[in-house]
Amino acid sequence: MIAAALLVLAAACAFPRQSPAPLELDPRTLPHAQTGAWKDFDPKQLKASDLPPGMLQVKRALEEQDFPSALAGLQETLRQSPDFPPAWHQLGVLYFRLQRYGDGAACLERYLEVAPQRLGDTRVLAHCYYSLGDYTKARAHYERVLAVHPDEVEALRGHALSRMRLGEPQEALAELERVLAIAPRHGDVWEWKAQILFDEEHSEEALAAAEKARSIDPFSPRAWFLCGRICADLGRDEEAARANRRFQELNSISSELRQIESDLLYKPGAVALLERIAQLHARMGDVASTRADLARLFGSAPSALGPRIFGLELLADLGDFEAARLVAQKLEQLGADDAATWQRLEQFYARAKDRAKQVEAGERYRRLGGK
Amino acid sequence: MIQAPIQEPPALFEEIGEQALPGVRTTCGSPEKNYILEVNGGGVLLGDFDGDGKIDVVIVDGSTIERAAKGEPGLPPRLFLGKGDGSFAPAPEAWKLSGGRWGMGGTVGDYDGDGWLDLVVTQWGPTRLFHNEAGHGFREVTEGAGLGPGAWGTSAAFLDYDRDGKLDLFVVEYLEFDTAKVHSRAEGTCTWKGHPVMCGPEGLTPLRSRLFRGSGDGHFQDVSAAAKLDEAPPAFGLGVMTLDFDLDGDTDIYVTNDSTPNQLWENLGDGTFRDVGFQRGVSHDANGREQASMGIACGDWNGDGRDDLFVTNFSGENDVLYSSSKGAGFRERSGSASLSGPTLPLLGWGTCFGDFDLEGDLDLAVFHGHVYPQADSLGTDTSYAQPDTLFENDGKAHFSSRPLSSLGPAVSRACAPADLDGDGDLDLLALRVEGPVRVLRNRALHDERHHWLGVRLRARGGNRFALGARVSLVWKGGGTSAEMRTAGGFQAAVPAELHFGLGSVDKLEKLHVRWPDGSAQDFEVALVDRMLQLEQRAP
Repeated sequence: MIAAALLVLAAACAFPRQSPAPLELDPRTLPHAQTGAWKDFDPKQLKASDLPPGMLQVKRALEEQDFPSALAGLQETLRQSPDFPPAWHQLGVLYFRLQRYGDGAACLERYLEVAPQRLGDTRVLAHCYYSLGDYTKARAHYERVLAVHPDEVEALRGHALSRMRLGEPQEALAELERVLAIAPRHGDVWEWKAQILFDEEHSEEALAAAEKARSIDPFSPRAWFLCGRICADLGRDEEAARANRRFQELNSISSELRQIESDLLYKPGAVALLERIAQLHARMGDVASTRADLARLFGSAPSALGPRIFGLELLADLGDFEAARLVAQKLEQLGADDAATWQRLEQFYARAKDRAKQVEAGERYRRLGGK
Repeated sequence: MIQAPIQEPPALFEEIGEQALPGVRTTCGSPEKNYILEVNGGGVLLGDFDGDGKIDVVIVDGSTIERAAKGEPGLPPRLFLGKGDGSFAPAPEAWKLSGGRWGMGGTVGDYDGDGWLDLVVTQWGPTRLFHNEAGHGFREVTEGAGLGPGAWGTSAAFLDYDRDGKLDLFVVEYLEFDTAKVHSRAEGTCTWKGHPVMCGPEGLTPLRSRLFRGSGDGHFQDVSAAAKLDEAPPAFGLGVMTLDFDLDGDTDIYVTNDSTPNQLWENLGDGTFRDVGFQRGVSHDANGREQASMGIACGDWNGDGRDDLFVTNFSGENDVLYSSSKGAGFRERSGSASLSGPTLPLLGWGTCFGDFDLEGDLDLAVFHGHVYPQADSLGTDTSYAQPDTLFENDGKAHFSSRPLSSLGPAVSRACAPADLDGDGDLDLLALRVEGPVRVLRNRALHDERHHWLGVRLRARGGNRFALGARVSLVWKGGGTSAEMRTAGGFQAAVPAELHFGLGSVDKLEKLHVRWPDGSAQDFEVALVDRMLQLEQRAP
C-alpha cells in the first residue's frame, strides 16, 4: 500500500546529502515527533501529496538496489518529517538487508512506538532479533505478528526456527509442516525440516525432505549438503560422495556470490561485480538466476553496449538462445552504428544458426567499415 | 511485599594475573591491526617442565610489522615456573629461549622419551623445536630436526599416530603472508560491513597442515604426502585437537580452519588419513556453510562415552557444539544446548571443556575478542572487546551462561586450563591482545558434593606421558572417561594430565586405562580428591 502511494507520486524532489555519511549515522539520533503525532497513521489513507519529498527517490534507489542512496534518502526524510512511519519501516528493513540488525531493530521498534497499530508489518523486527541471536525475543515478536497475520509464511518460518534454536525441535517441526501446507514449494523450509529430522536421528525421513528441497531448488548448495550428509549417515557412500561433489561445486560458487552480494550492498551498480554474479550463476547452470542477474546488470547501465555484449555471449554459452535473441534485438537498436556490435551479432547469429540474421549482421558490420 | 533484589552469584573465576604474572604482556603487531599477521595473539603452553609437580607456562610472544620488516627477531617465548599457588616466577637463564620470527603457539610433549616435556613453538616462519635438558633448561634443536620449511604455523599437536611409541607432530598452517603482497588496512582495499579492515584470509593463499613422523631421537620426517594429508585442498588452518573419535584405538585429528571447511582426519591405521569431516558432520555449519573457526574444546559433555567437539567461530556465526552420535558421526546440538544465541554476536578463540564447578559434568570456558578494532564502529552488532563466557552444564543437556570473571569485555585469544594452585579445581590462563596475560583462579566449592580426581600416566616406551591413552572411571551407578592429550585447540597446549570433576561421587569402583599401545589395565582407587600418577605395568 505504501509502495502504491509512492508510485503515484509524480514529483521528484531531490534530497540533499547530509553529514554524517549515511552509513555512519546512528538512526537512534534522528529527531522524534511529538508523542502521538502519528497515532492515527493508516497507509491506506496516505495520499501522494502527504508523502515527504524524497520518498520517490528512495523508492527508485531501492529498485536499483542502491542502498546507500536509499539510506541517505530515508534518513533525510526522517529529519524533514520526524517519525514519518513508512520511512522508519523502510529504514528498518533496509538496515536488515545491510545486515545491520541492531540498527534495523531500533528503527522498527521506533516504528512500533509511533504507529503501534501497525504491528502486523513488523515481521522483520523479529528477523532482526533472530539475527542478533536473541531467539527468545524473536519468538515473542513472531508470536505478536502471527496474532495479526496467522498464516504469514515468513513469520511462521521464523517462529519455527526460533523454537528450534531454543531447543524445541518437535514444536519447530510441527510449525514447519504448517508452513509447507501453505507454501508447499518453500525449498528453504524443506531444508530446515530435513535438518531437524536428521538432528533428531530420523535419517530416512530427513533424506526424503532433503531430496524434496533439492528437487525444488537444484542449485541450492545446502540441499545437496544435506543429501550428502544424510546419505553418509545411512551408509550410502556412493550417493554421499556424489552429493558432496555437487555440493562443493555449488558451494564454492555460492561463497563467491555471497561475497559479491555483500560488496554490492555498499558499492551498488558496480558493473564488474554484476557481470561476475551472472557468470557464476551461468557456471552453476542456473538459467533463471542468470537472466535476473543480466536484467540487473543492464538496468545499471541502460544504454551501454559492453554489458549487453557480455550478456549476449554468456547466454549463448549457456545455451539460452531465447533470452540471447532478446538481448541481440536490443543490441541492434543500441549499437546500430557500431561496427564492433554488428560483428558480435554476426558471430552470435552464426552460433544460433540463424543464417538470414547472420548475413544481415555481417553486411551491417562491413557497411560500417568492418573487414 | 518487598522482595530482596536478585543477586548474581559471584563469578567463578578471580582474575589474579597482576599478582600471578606481574607485568607480563604480549605483543602482536600494532593496535590498528593493519595486517592479518597482527591478529592471532600469542600462545599458551602449559606443562611441568622442571618436574617439580607444579604447572609451568611458556608464553609465546609475537612481533611487530616494523621489526619483521627490518629482519629483527620477534619477541622471545618465555618460560615461567609455577610456584604451585597459582603464581609464577620467571625461569632461570638456562631456560631462556631466543626470539624467532613472529611466534604464534605450539605444543608440548616428550618427543625423545626421556621423561621430560619438550617444546614446539609455531610461528610465521619455520616451526621451532626445543629439547628439555632433564628439567634444567631448554636447548633449541630446530636445525636438522626436519620440521621445515613451514610458512605460518599456528597450532600444533603431538600424537603417536602410528603407535610405534614415538611421538609424531602435527602442525597446522594458516596462509602465505608477505607484507609486500598483501594490502594494508590503511589502503582501504578490504571492507567489512562497510568499514575498511585488514585483508584476509579470503584472497590469500591457504596452506596444508603438515604431519611429521618422529624417530624418537629428535629427528622428524615430513610424511604429509605419504599419510595422504596432501589429498585435501589447502585451508586456512588455525586450531588442532587430537582425539579417537571412532574409538578404534588410534588417534585421529580435528583441524579448525578459517573460512574453509574444518577437517576431521580419520586415522586409517595404515599410516594414512582420510578427511571425513563432511561425512561425520563436523566440516560445516547446519546451513552447509564453512565457518571461520578458531578454537576447539574436546570432551564428553553428555556422558555417552564418546568425545564431543565444541568449535568457536567468527561473529555472526554461532559457536558450534558437535555432539557425538550413533555410528561415530556428530550432530550439531548448539541450539538445543543453549549455546547458539549467546555466542552469535561474539568472536570466539580459546576454549576448553572442564568441570570447573566440580559438579560432575563438563562445563565450557570461551574467550572472545574481535579481529577488527573497527568492530567498535557503528552498525556492526558486535564490538572489539567482548565478554568471556562460562557455560555451565546443568547435567540435562543445557548450558547456562555467565561471565567467567569480573574483568568485563576484553580482546582475548588463546587459553589453557590447569590446576595451577593445586587445590583440585581447574584454573585458566589466557592471553589478551595488547594486554597483560590473564590468570583466572577458580573459586569452586570443595565439599562433600564437589569431589575431583587428577590422573597422570606414565607409559612404557617413548610415549612416556601416554598421549592417546583413555582413562575411564567407574562408580556405583555411573562413570566417565577422558583421553590424555596435550593439544589445546587454538595456539595452546594443556598439561599431560586429566582432571575429573566428580560431584558427590567420593568412591570409585574402578579406574581403567587403555594405554596407547592398546593394552588395558585396571587400578583400584579408594580415595578421590587427589592427583594420581599411574604407571603402566611391565609386560
